[in-house]
Amino acid sequence: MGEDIGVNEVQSQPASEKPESVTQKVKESDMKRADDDLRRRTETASVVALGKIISITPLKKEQDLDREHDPDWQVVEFRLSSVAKGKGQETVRFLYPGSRDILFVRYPVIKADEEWTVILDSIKQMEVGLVIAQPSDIMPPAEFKRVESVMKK
Amino acid sequence: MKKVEYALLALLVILGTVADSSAQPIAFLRERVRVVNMIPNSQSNETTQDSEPNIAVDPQNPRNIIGSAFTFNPTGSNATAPIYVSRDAGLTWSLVNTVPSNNGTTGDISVAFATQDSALYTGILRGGFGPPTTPTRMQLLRTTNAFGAGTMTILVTRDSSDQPYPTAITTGSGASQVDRVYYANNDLGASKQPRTATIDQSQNARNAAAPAGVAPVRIERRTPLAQDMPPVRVAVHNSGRTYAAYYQRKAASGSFRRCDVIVVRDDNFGASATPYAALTDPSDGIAGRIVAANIQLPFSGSSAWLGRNRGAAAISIAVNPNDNNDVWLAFCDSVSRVTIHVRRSTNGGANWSGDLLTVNSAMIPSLAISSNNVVGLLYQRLNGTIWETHVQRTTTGTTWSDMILATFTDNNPAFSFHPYLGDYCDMVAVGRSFYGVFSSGNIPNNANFPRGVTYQRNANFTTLQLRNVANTANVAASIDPFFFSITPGLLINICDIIPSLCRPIIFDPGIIRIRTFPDEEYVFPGPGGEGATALCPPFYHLFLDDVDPRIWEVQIQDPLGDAIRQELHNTPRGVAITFRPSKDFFSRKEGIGPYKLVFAPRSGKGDGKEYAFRTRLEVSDYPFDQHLKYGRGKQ
Repeated sequence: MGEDIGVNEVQSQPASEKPESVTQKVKESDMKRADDDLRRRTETASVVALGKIISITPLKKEQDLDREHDPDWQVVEFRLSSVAKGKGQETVRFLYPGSRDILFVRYPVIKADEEWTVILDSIKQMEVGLVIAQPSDIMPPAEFKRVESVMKK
Repeated sequence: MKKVEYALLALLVILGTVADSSAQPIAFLRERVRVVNMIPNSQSNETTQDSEPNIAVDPQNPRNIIGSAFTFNPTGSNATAPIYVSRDAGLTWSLVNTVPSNNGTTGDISVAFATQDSALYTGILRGGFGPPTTPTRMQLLRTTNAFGAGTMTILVTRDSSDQPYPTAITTGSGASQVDRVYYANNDLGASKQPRTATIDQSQNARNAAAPAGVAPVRIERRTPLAQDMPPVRVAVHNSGRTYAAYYQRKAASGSFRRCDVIVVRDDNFGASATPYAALTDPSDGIAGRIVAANIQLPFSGSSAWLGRNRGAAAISIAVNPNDNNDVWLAFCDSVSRVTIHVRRSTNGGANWSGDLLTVNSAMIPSLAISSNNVVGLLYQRLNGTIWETHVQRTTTGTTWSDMILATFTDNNPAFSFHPYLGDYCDMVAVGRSFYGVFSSGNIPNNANFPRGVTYQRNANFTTLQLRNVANTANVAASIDPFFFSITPGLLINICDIIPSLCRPIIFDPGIIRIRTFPDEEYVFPGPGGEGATALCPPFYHLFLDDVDPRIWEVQIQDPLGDAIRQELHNTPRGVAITFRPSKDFFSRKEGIGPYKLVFAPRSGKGDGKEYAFRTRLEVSDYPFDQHLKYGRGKQ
């Protein structure tokens, strides 16, 4: 793992405290940081919702360039069941990379009829209008409650 | 070789006599092939697809090697991605997380050492960047401490470029020494289309602040269809003659492209007034020699083409270090799924041979040429459902030797993402040795590694199972990066030539006592004076008279047969090799070494005759130049 390590202080406490409390505080600190990141992420998003995938169809390519890292955009039609942000629509369409290239390896493979929690950004360049901008913006359905609670804090 | 022959040689060398040509040969050819799974033992639990490997070997110290692949930061951090590092000629590897990232890995990564003073140049597509933020984010990196923990310095960031691939050479000496660096890439930015084949280069990249002189040069002079294809490769000779190769896209239909294979050349390290324009094609008078016209090339970035590996173009070019007109090219077309073609020019790229070698159902070729004119070709071939990793070698192009390093069944381990094995693998030559990396299935089965293999990660070669870090459970198979080296050698044990060199050395704290030829004792104080350090080996200057460096290549190797860090100096009578014994190869019982002194005829052929060279060893506090001025009294 190399010859040295770097450390970054996230919290400190007197040496007299029990080691177990240090572990707990580190956990709490990690959770707080993750929640803060998630809150900031939702603040800039257009839609935060739980829903089910109706269909997935390839997006017609606008240009004929050979990129090894082409996203192979797909258009996902998505029925909203619970909406934390961006209310007023029953269904939305968003772009999702279908490529299994290394650049997109952290995006989960999705199928019709699956339920997901999604964070969607507006995108002006393409007619679909919404996009999953990063792999962490699509989560299992159970995560929706956590996302909602973080947004309310 | 028998011991008695060594003894004879020692006698001949010491006496400086010329042997009778009818006597027995004094040396023999022995080749060592090393294959090592690069996953460190601490990562024995890993099951990811570590594909598309690359390698950099420090020419000044070939024990220091850097590898790269699509490997995730093992700490889980997204801020950096890892490289593989080895300080023992590839025997063992560890990971250092020094590559900037946003998701703990990269979208492309390749590495190259400068030829002196060990600066490492790296090209990446930054992980975690991509659509819709940006098509791709290329970053060109530098570090002067490749083995340290510091994150590499970003020299250039540019969106939309693909497949950065560095090459570096050091020229000059002293204050005028510079690293000339070439980051070949395919710059797909809208304003750059259609001439996208590009080299971002600097004529002095080592020390200056970013961008350290790195600036793009378009090497495409014609008008391709929308773009050139992704791979662009550079081969630079120390004379300044610099070649680059790429595919020019002419037509596109489905998964096939019609392309011309182009080679360009510059005769001043790419710094000519009109760079890369030294070669023109007779068909149109435009810069860029068309080596193969209108070939059909498979291209499918998102679907499997040969087995589970995608159909991506690959190309490789290498120049003979002994002849800047001797240049070799490997490219692909889709005659039989994918076919590799190897061609050669002996007049600086002006004219090219026909195919010297074709390999069907094979892709991702990598060429390298050793200091004794051996051309090596690394590639991966799908034979039925079996992936084979080959190294073929030749000196003339007419006859080739073929060696299989590894085999495994396609899609077992299962595909995870593109590329399954890589859009490239990599091989380089340092001296007479070849060093390379390839990705392959990691099922621990000796039958899959015809030349042997070493695993660092836990593995049971009897049950054919990978094991976890604690060695308590099996781990699923996956694609791993494998290092290999091929070291030919006409080996002469230096201890047999100069037995007193290998007598025990006594290490007292702060003092090194060396009992050496001609059986005298010297004391070498460490830095800061006697007693300041426990270990400070002196410089060893091994003078070899009557050795013509144009005929002979000479090298010191460690007990494992790997070249150690050394300097070769021309002397009025022959050559001198300067090296420093390493604590890695010292024991109180055995002393230093035994190091091996390698003599190899540059012709690549032994003539069965005996040669004798007058030799003497001078140990010194000083490097060679200073030793000649100040240190001769310590002979």
